[in-house]
Amino acid sequence: MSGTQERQKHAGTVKPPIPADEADRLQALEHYRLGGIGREQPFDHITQFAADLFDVPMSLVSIVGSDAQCFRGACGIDETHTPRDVAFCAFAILQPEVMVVPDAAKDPRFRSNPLVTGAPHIRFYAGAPLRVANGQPIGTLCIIDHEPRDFGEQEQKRLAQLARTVVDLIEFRVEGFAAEEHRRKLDDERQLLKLTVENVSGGVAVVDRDLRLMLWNQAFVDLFDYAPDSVTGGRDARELIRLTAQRGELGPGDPDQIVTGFVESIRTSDSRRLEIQRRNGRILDIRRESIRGGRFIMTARDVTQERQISRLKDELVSTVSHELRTPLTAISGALGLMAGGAAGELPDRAKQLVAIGSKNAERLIHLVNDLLDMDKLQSGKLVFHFEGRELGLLLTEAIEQIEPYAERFGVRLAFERPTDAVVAKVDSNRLCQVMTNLLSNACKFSPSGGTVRVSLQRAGDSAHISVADEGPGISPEFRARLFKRFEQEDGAHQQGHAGTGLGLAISKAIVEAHGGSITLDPETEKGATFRVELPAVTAS
Amino acid sequence: MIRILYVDDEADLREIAVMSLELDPEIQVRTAASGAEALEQAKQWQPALILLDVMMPGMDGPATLARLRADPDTSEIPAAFITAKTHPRHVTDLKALGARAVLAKPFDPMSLAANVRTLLQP
Repeated sequence: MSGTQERQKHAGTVKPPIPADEADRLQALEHYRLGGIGREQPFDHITQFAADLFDVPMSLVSIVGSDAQCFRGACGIDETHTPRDVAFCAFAILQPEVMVVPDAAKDPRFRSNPLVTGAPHIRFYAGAPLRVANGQPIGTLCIIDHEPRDFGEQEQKRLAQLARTVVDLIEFRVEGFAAEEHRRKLDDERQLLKLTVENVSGGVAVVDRDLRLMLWNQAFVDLFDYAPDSVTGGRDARELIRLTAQRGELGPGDPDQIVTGFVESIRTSDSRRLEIQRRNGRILDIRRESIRGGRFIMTARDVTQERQISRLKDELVSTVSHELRTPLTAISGALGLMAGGAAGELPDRAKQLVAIGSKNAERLIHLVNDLLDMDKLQSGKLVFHFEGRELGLLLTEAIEQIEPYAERFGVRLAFERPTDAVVAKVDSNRLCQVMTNLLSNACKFSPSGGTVRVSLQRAGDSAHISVADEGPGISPEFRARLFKRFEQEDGAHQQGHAGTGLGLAISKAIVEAHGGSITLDPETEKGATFRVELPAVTAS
Repeated sequence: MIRILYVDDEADLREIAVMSLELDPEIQVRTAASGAEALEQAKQWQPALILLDVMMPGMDGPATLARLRADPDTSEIPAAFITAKTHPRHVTDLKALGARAVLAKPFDPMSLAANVRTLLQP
């Protein structure tokens, strides 16, 4: 039936008025998910009960939508819905109490209603509005008869009572939806978590406060080589630890005692890291971190290859340094003896050549030392021994060390030492290394006859050291790369200033390990000025 | 004459050390190419000081020192290590073994004799 035919068919029918707050009412429908067509058994049962109770052939739980009333529950009626324009219930929802139409044929609102003039031939109608929690009437519980009928006050009360039961049902139903949604969301999240955990490259296991396994991935099972059926939800983590302990993979000792030790550590510390070697030779890096609610997460990673590579590198570095230093000792020793006249007076030309040889052997020795330092710094193996030292004294020592080098370049070293002692917690050898590096750079780049000025000051909680030269300065392009590894200013080689390109990177790492900073003074107009700032110790 | 026993598995370094030390006319040097040879020489020749390389194949410097200390004929002879491993931690470890000093490799050949004399001062 088209829209036009529908309207023609209903011509003469009095249309039900639309409530003023219809939008809110429709929103309530939406909230209770009662829009649309579809019967539900609990509502059918109630209509059956109502029909029996009031001895009528028809009863409905009718939900009044924007265009139609839809029957969520029905007894004696097969239709699923009717247009709202002809719905008795659309009138009933406007009433505060039960709407009773004793004889529709005599009621001016309904006598030409197609539901009265045609099937289902309504004569008697009584509908109690279904008011949900916010007071909106979303529909009715109604009873219908083919015969006119009186409907007393007592009966109206009962119908209203039954309607409240329908509303209760509707409220429960929506709570059920919310619970269902919540459950689905939880399921989704659990699924997502499981997928995430499964896709992590290492082994992961989450254990609850009672040490029961909650969540784990296949990598966890594989890394520890547990039988698939030994890892199940709720499994006691102690049993898994015992399995590993029994294989001797958690060190020597009684497995039960090892397990007790582990449990004790779980109770007393929030995190732990441990490396074990499995019977199959694989090395696992295992970490435990406490998470919310007394649970903890355990991650395991196979680090066998990393450890092998690291060991190979250590061996290589050690071998290379030894193998390089031995011939270098021989070369520089032989050249040193020649230059020192141990083999008799050398002709001038030979002296020059020996000096070139010596200088380059020295460069190689520096390079080997720098490479070793850099390697140690990078791997965190460089151990610092901090002690309170007077920096004036330390700088004097560094200057004395570098003096022969400065003489070679015809450079004078000037130290502006404060009258008061400036004390800082330093590793003397390492800080001396930084200072001799800065000083030798300064000498190298100074013009012959120039002066390298060293100053020491205390400013608040800091000790300020500066080393200034009168050289050509550092180009703005190079400044950004100054403290990076293997960086040397373009042309340094051609000017005979070649170094290893590691000195400043090492110096920076050393100063930073002291909690200090090293910078190039951007204000200097002539030459270059390096500043080292260190936390000073308050003189007591 | 001051007798110095220089122990190193590297022939070239032994030669350089001999030349360096003998720049001092009062120093007399003998060398050993291994820990075992060093024990033998020390026992027979009774040097005033033994300079020991650390990394040697077979019996290394520390092992040699331990054997020297265990033998009553050599237990009193002062010894110093001469090594490329001069990190403060290594130096501390080596001194803990009973060495009088740890000299760095590469050494300055022109001042090695002077350094050795300083070591022998009471």
